[in-house]
Amino acid sequence: MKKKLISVLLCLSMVFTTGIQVFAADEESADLSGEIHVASWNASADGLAEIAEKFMELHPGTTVVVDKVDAEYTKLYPALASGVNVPDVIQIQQTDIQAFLNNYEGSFADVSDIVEPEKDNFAANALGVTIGQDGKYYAVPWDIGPCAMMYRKDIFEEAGVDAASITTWEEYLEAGKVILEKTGAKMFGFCYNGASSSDAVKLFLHQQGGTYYDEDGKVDLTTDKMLKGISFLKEMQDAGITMDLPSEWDDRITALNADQIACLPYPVWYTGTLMSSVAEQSGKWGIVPMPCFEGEESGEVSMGGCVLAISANSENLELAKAYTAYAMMDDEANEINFKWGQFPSYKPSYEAEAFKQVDEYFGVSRGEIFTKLVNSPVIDFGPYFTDVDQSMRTAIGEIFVNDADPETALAAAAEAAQRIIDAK
Amino acid sequence: MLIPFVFLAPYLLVYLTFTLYPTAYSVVLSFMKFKGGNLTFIGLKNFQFLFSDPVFYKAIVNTFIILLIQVPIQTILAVVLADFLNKKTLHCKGIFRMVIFMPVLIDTVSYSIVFRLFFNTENGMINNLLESLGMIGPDWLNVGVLSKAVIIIAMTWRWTGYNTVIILGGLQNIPSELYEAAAIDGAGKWQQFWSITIPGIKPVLLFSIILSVTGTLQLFTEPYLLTYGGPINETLTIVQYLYKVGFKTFNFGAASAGSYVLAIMIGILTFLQLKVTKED
Repeated sequence: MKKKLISVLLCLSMVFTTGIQVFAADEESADLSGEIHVASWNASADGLAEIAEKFMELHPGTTVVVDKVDAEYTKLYPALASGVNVPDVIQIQQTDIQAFLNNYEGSFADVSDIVEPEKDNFAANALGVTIGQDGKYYAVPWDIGPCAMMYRKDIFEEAGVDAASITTWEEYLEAGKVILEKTGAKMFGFCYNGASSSDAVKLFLHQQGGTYYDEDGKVDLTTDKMLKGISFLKEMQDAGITMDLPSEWDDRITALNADQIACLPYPVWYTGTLMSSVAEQSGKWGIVPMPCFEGEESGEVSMGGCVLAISANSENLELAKAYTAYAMMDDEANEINFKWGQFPSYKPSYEAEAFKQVDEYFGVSRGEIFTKLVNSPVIDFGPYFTDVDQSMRTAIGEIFVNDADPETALAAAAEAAQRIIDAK
Repeated sequence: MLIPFVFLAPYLLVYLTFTLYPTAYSVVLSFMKFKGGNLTFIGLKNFQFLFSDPVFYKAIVNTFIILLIQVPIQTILAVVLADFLNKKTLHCKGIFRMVIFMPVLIDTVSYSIVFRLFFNTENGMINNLLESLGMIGPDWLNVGVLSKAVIIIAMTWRWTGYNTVIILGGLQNIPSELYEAAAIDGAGKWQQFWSITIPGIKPVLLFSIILSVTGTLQLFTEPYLLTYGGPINETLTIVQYLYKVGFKTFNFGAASAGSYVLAIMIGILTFLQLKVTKED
């Protein structure tokens, strides 16, 4: 049972407390020396490790250890709760940082001194999530997920559709109908029952700058922006141009490889997945900017992205800040980030060589295209994003599987989410 | 006098630290609000929250539906297979035993993912097979009943072999003279099965059923990976619900409270099973 696991972990960390504190007390934090631990996951951790090597070369006498953790924070929760063995530098999703600041108040260091002078150099939506209730910065923005419309050039051509001419979602829908009729391929894929992902809904909501809350911070899932996004998704589903991906991530890859999906309005980080998991389609994919709803100025939207936060109790705050600043704002570091799939939010780095390189897979420079698409709306995920998202997924199922009335289903989900939040 | 305890000490120490202490501590947690590492006493609020949450009831109902269908199917299958494996006349026993036990050796995570692929509506093996037979496969993972069925099929595939081996152990303890005597007295195969086999394996059968019931009540991996608890919470189990409350919404107090509700349910069910099947 999970509660057992948690307590075991808590206890484990308690057992180790004494030893480690005694050890750390000997270590006076001199100017950039000593050791820090960085918690990060997957390929982004590989990138940070490569950056750490460069950093250690520049600053002899320092040790930066990158520990690979899981993206579900299972190691981080007990550490933060007990206050021991907290990594010095911590990777956190954009959507979750506010929840961490709220749940573990005082656990994160104020990093305004490194972020404030550079604030105009970060993409606005990446910067927005790092600001605490008191207006100070509690994390350094890392990567963002600017979206573009990636499409199968061969399928579009077969159907006689010009991708570049699609600028609104309405045109996207019409194009989808033509493509379906001529080629049988679907224009959009998402998890109808919501259980494995709510990305589709978030894409349309966040593109319009919408959130899960009303002005007073209460959960509100029946905003105009939400309903507009949902009803468009429904319209696409009714037109038959969408495909169900019950296990969204895996099923999308299967469907792509089976030529069942012709179009991906999706973030830059998925280009890496295309190149590795759909490798045979090299040369078949094109990229154009996202469509938007009629009347909107731009379709720019960001999905996914992380920040680096620093533990307030770090024994070596100086080093932790120096490394984080280097990893997030140095051109060479950002080239490494980009190479490992993290699209940096620090705009001055976009001039670096890596962002101009032409990718064989797309036949154009991904970097050059996506660096122009980073001005998406700032989204307030609030401190309860995950809670609301859980309820949201139930509503998605009600709407797209059970054909329930969107407004009723969403109102019920909002009520359920508010109840969970109030009980916390 | 002390010598046995000296030998037991390493085990007891580990048990106290890693089992008893956390278990006891979660009793404390279930009456607390746990936020940012601080505990505040809130009385029965955590239990109130649980019992006013429709999703909690849904998780309980789901778990019991799966339990009431899956455990009988699995137990009957296990008895039949064990009886088959115990036949004197059966050749290549080793191979059959291996085949039946094999699924148990496969990691729960891997098999859950494989079953998810099998039952995919568009590209799954099952629906492709049905299609080649001229039928239209159903939307397995989007219909509540069917998604529960998928979980039940997967669990039965995974755990039947395990229970078969337990029951086979029981069968092998029944002296063959009993069957010979019964045959001489004119009892048919069916009568032998009901009058000798079943009473003979009763303790083992009970053990296997209790294990299955407890295991199913704590069901987590399969729905977590196979259906994600969907569609619309139709396969959300109690433990998965507790996981969400604990790790997705950070309400560790309510999660601890819920785990005690579950522990009490398991306790009552086990007690009832022992009571019902008690020898007079």
